[in-house]
Amino acid sequence: MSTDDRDGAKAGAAIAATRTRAATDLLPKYVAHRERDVATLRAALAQGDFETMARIGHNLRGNGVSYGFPEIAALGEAMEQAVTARQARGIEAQVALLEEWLARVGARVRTER
Amino acid sequence: MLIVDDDLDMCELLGAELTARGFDPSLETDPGRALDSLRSRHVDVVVTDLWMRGMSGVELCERIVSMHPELPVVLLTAHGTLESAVAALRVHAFDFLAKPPDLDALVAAIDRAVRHRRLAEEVRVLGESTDALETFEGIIGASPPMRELVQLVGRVAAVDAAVIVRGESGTGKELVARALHERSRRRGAFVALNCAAIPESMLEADLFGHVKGAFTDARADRAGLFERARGGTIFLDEIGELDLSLQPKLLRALQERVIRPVGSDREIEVDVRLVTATNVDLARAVEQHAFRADLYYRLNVIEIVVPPLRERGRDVLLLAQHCIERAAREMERDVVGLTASCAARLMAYSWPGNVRELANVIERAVALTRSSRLTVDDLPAAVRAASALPTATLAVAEDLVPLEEVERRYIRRVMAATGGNKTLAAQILGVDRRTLYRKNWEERSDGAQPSSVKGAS
Ligand SMILES: Nc1ncnc2c1ncn2[C@@H]1O[C@H](COP(=O)(O)OP(=O)(O)O)[C@@H](O)[C@H]1O
Repeated sequence: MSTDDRDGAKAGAAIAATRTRAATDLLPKYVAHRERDVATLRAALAQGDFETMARIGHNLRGNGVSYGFPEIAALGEAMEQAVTARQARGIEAQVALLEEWLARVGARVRTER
Repeated sequence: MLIVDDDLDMCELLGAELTARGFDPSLETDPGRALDSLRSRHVDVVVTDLWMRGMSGVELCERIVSMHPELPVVLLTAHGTLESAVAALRVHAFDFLAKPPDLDALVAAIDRAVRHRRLAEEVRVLGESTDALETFEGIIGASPPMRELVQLVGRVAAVDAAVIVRGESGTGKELVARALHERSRRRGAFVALNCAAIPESMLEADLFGHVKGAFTDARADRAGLFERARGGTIFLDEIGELDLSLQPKLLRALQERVIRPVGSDREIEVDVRLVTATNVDLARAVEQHAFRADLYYRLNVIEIVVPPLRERGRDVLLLAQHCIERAAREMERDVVGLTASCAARLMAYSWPGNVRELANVIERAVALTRSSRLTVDDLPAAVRAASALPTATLAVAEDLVPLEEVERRYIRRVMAATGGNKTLAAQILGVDRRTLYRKNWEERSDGAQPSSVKGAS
């Protein structure tokens, strides 16, 4: 079993423990929206649009908790902090984490459905 | 229900959760559009996020409340801080929950809000319709027990039998006695006398009359109630207080339809219907030999029980509205009705003094109020303390206190910060000074600290 797989399984278990039925049903949508976030964030980074980055960071912090993904909430919070400090590098790092999450958990969600 | 959150994922999740719990929510991610949609759509409650682009939840709440004063708004915020609670309070949010909300707490808040909304609508409808309210001889009441009562009164009125009206004080026993008379075929007078209010030495003369010289003050013959009510009805309130020495005389009047005025040796025939009332258990008085059994059976041919106000449900609001209109007319004050939260307190209070107490409370409130609809602040402390919806709560894990308490704490804090300068404090709080005086006064009259600390469930 690869490291990626094990992380994926762990994330899956954590999710199952905290996520409600409604959140489970909405999961594919949630993942699709995160893909859109990545695209929006990349464009915002290119234009220096900190407001958009702040908004997405804030939303991730909130919806991450509600959908049962504490790591999304954590990266959202880090993103908000990086935006406040106008640290493009830090923001990019969180976007990369989000992409990595999509590859790992997002893929799983899609196959599980 | 309308859910507003600019984060689509949150909006949809809340929507799905609430749908799963039997609600039928509409979703809106744009606060401006949400506001527009309220113009054309009827919703019972709005649940909105606090932190949104374009328009904050506080601003949205403020605008909703100014456009639709009776539409409750529940605010959700990621930051469960005192400041955001106070902001919510200042724009009259109905309730305030930390995000992500505990769903049971949210559903409870929504239920309260919906009930509040319904009550508000009811109050509004009331304000429009009590003028045309149909009453039975002035007896107001639409609750099942009152409908039954009125029906019974209508049936019993035509019969000439003695009636005993039982009920707590202030429930309207005299009103029932009057209705019995008005609806009967008796065209004589209705005369009322409270047995407890008249010294025993005078009661006999009051009831049966006296002749000149019967006692020191008797300078001329004087007819008693029985004669004045010839062909009519006598109402004797608190009959349980009738002295044992007078009871045989009353019994005789009932049995033989004759009375003898004090000091007279002549008997007079009488034709009255006797209605009596008591707020004590006469059967027990009989057992204890404080009341003659034979008289009791004579009086108790028909018994009518008047229910206490607390068992009459929404009648409280009908009666309150009626009292408001009457008091406003008498005092020439521009008061037209109740606010929903005031109505909620009136409904929650137990009214030990029944309709009489309600009438007094309303009269006082109409005299004192500064608004056209009575508010909770216009009610006496005892009524205000009746626990009622809405119980606004601040759901922050370590700080679960009612919104009112948050307000008190904040006011205290501002007062301390301004060294007790009320003008300055009022400026900071964005309220006028009078409001602040009243709130401060409330705090003192309630005792120092409210003791209950409630959870958000
Ligand atoms: N159902 C009612 N509708 C309107 N007014 C009422 C009603 N019940 C009581 N009242 C008013 O409340 C007051 C107290 O009623 P009253 O008949 O004197 O009570 P009781 O004789 O039971 O002490 C009176 O002013 C009466 O007119």
